[in-house]
Amino acid sequence: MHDNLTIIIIVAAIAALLFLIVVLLIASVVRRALNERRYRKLDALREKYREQAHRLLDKDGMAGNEPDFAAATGSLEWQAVEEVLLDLMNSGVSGDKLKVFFQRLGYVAYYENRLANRNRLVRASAIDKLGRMGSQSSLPKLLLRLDETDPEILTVTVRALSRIGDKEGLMAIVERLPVLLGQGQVTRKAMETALLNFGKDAVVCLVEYHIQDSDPWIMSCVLETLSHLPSDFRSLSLASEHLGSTNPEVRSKALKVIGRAEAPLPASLPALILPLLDDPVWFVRLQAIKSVNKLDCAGVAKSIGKLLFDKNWQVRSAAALSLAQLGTCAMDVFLDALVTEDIYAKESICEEIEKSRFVDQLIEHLGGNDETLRTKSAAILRIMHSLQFSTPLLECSLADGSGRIKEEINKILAAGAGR
Amino acid sequence: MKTATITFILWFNYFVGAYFGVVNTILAFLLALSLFAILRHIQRIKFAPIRDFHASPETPPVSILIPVHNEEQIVLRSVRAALAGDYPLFEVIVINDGSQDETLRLLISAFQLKKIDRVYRTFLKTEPVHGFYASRDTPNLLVIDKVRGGKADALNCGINASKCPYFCSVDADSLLEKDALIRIMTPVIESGKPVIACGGVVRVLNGVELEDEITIKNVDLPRSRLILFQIVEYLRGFLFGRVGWDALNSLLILSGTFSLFHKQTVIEAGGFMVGNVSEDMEMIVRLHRLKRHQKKPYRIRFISDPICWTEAPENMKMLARQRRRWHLGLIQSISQNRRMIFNPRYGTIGMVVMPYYVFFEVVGPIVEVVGYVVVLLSYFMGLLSVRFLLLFFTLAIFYGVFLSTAGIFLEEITYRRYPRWRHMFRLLLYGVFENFGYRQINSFWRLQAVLNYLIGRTGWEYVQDKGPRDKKGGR
Repeated sequence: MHDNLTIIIIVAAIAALLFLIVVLLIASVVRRALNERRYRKLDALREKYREQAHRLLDKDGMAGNEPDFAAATGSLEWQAVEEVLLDLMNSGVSGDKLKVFFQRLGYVAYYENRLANRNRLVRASAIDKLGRMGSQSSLPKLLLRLDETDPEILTVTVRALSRIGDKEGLMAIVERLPVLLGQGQVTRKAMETALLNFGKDAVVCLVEYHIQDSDPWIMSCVLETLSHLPSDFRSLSLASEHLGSTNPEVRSKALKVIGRAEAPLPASLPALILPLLDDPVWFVRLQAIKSVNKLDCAGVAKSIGKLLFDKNWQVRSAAALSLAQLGTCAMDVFLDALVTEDIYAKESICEEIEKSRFVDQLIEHLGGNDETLRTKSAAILRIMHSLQFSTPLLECSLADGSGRIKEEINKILAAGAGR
Repeated sequence: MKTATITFILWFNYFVGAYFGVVNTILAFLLALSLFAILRHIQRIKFAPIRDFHASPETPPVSILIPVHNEEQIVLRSVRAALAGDYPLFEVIVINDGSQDETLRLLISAFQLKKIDRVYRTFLKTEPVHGFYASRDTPNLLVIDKVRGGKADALNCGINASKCPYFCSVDADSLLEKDALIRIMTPVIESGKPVIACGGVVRVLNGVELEDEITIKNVDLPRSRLILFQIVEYLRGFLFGRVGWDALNSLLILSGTFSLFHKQTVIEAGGFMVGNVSEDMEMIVRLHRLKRHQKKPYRIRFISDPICWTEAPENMKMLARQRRRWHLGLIQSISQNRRMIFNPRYGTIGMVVMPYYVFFEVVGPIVEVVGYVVVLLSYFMGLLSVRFLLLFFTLAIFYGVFLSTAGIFLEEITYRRYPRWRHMFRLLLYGVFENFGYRQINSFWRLQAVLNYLIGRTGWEYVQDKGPRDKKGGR
């Protein structure tokens, strides 16, 4: 009785598995057959509509030709037209004409209706489509989506609004930053990427709306975005106001805005930036070095020089790189640092001198007439060689030709204790 | 004595039946989860912001780490494929781990590398470095020549030299698809919780036709039966195993062939463990441990659309080595982190995932192989009728066929990278065939790994000359 029951269970399990296997097999075959047919047709349709669209765009635009592209909602033709037109938009062809065309063909209305769908993925997909179609008329409906609580919908909506690029969308996002960012509903990277899509229009909006904002999380996002946008006096002014923030991330992002500014810096800024070279937080010091580099060379080299002995290696390297970029006016600072006992600082300096190709200038000085420069350059190169940073010297020494530079290099190589 | 043996055999039969039932229930659950998760992911891909992230300066830079040891035949292909990646800011770091062949010389001449002087900061202790090589023509390529220390040591060396916040480990015999990096980075950028590691799908390169040596031109199936079995296994393993665990936020394995890591977290965890033959799994376990200790939110993700193609072993000897190594690595990783097992401090990982791996993955091959012997013994001792024996084997085989068919079905409804009808039928056929011999021999290799571990043979078994070296794979 017991055995029979076991056997019945096993047979039933085998039958169930067999049934499932057959179902999966049939599903795979049927799906493949349907897909093959579908994509064959779709490829042909895409080709047809692409040619048609190009022809019309080459002539006098697409207005009035809607019947040629009209298709039943959800049909293959509908999908093919949408894909072809979106491809054209992505390639930058007649964006404005295509936006209108999408509207006339009914795509905008179709996706707007889907915004009310209960399925989150359907809604997200519709939002994305409206964004990709650049549908400005959908803005009011898209803005309503910003009041949802689902992070995925919010992220897609922010992105869609950024693709449409309308100022109203930008304002709506900026106004809701405390909710979207502060409550972690949209990640900072996703938000910054979206804000950058708005281009330089975002500068005024971000500066105006957040000049008084006290949330450091939002302010650092705003400043980070501004650092990647073309700078103007407003962003510089906002950044300089936040150099004294109590939050280190805000201070460092404010420095980043200043460091990346192409415009000349206001005369008052050095006095605000230089103290940040002594900031207790390493990434603020790091950013300060990058910003200070924009200031007058002679006054700055010494201040940066102190950071060659920083306890953080990224700061040491940044200081060395910054000095190497300053060039000859930093030679004294280098020489002072290279005669100390701090091996980590000395190696960082040598590495950055090589990486920034300042070493080429030093080698060049060996053949020059300026005695001071020649002596200092030789001294730096000698120390580099003793620390095994000799590759540029060896390359020069092995290169063809002769002359004063080669002689000097051979002297350094013979005297030092390199490899 | 005889009575005791009979009692043992009878009870063992019941145990095998129950064990089989539990394993298969868990796998069926994972399959259902994967089906749901993968279909949703496919829908999400349609509105994934790949293009936006590609153009954004906010997309975090990544270092691609390629450890190489005696890879003269394929190293240039792998490096070129990595350099051809479609990603805003990345560097490729090749770590020559004491190769004795022409690997380094080939790299130097192909990319016109020159020795550079560079400070080597040892955040993670490694074997000494001989030198660094870089090129002005390819500024995002760095080659490190170092004393041999194994794959984990080479990866640690690459981490030390990396200047990016994330790194992606890629094997030398693998090819990254152009958009693989940006796809694997998407969950990192979009997730509300910090993603500290993320894995992508690894597919079998053998049989695939390449264009310009680095681009997938035509996906085909090789003639080798052994490779076909492995393709079915990879589909099953990646499309429903890992997707299912990811849906439960309980991933314990990401393939070292293609995984992305947050560098600082890996450094905090102490880097890859030298001496473990499956450094990728061990690292994931340790990352879970670290983050649970720190009580900080985190995610370890697996995404099914970024793809890396890798060579699979084409002969039994090499395949046996690879499988023994994988299983030994699993045992080592579990054993080195055994405190996590049934430890509520580690949440689902400690209470569910680690015990699952111990009882069903580590012990599985022992039960399976001993099970075959005992069931046959029962039959010969007259304890089991021939009808019962056949039914039991049929059930086991049908379940295996069901899982393989499900893996192929998932591929069919999602990515369909094997485009021809004959591809699908061959894969389905091999999904059936693999249950007659291939699966059993795999269990035997895994059992060998258990025995090797018990007797202390825990060295790295090298897999040489794995796959295709010519333009068209599938020798």
